[in-house]
Amino acid sequence: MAGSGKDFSTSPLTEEDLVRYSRQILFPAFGEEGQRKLRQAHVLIAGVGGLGSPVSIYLACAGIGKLTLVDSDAVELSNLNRQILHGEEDIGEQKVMSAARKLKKLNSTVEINPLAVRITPESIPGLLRGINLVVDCLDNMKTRFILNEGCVQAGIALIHGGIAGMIGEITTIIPGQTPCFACIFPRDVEGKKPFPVFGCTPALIASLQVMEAIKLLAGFGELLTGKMLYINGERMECTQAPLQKNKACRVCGGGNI
Amino acid sequence: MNVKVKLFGLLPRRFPGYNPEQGMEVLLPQGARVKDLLARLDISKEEGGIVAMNGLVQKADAELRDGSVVHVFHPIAGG
Repeated sequence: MAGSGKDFSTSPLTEEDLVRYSRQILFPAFGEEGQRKLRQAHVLIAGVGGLGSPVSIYLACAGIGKLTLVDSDAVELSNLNRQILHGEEDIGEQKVMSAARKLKKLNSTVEINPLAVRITPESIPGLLRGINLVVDCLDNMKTRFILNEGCVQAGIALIHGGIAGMIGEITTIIPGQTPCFACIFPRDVEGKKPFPVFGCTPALIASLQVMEAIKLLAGFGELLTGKMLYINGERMECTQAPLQKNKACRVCGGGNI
Repeated sequence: MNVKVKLFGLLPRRFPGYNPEQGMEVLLPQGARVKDLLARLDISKEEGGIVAMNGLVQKADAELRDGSVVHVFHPIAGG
């Protein structure tokens, strides 16, 4: 938990770490150096629902040094088909607290910072202080625009994921290098809520978000930048739409579209 | 004029028989704009339909060219 005393992020890998993470350290492009980079990272997970549950589980198990969880909602019965960090006994509890408890059991060496607050234009600069990477696990466009603008201003990479039914989308945004969220979606449009979804859909997209996070933090592989990957589970099809930075982008391009 | 349309996200299911590899040809009047294409595809403004050419998102009044390949998508907002 936050303020638990020991700063795990700067401590060297222990004998226990070398065993715990041995199967990923075996990956040639990753190795002990990659593991150390994960240990030094502070990742913010925006939303601990359908996407945020598996994202935080896999990031905790992979040995990220510190995870900040941000979500102002409490667990509801209708969440349980997909939000796998939460169970029946957690209904009514703040999602970040329910999540922190489970994540700590999975990996006690990861520092978990649960914040039951809303992401707003006022709160975002403070939330992003000291953060190396943000994973977008939100369920609405309005907050995504706030998160994107905060990340662009702070120069922090953002891994976007979105889901509906059996379909998901994902792209990695690196401020200054790739199109930002507002380059891709210039206008704020709200989807219908509640949206239909199976639990397997966020699980799939979340796994891809974590792959991007590990590669980005450890510095290997090819990132999903400059394109949106769509996975259609209904038809078992994967497609990609190329994307370019928009010089007229109101967030990163210095103008109005 | 003809434009080749490739659909993404939740849009392909609206067009039975749509082939994601090939996309589909859409016949439009000469001088048609992005908003005309969205109207032809029956994608309302509220749905946030986005039209991109070569990866660049186009404004609603941008003119389309015969033979262009356009990508059409909209945000998938759940999480």
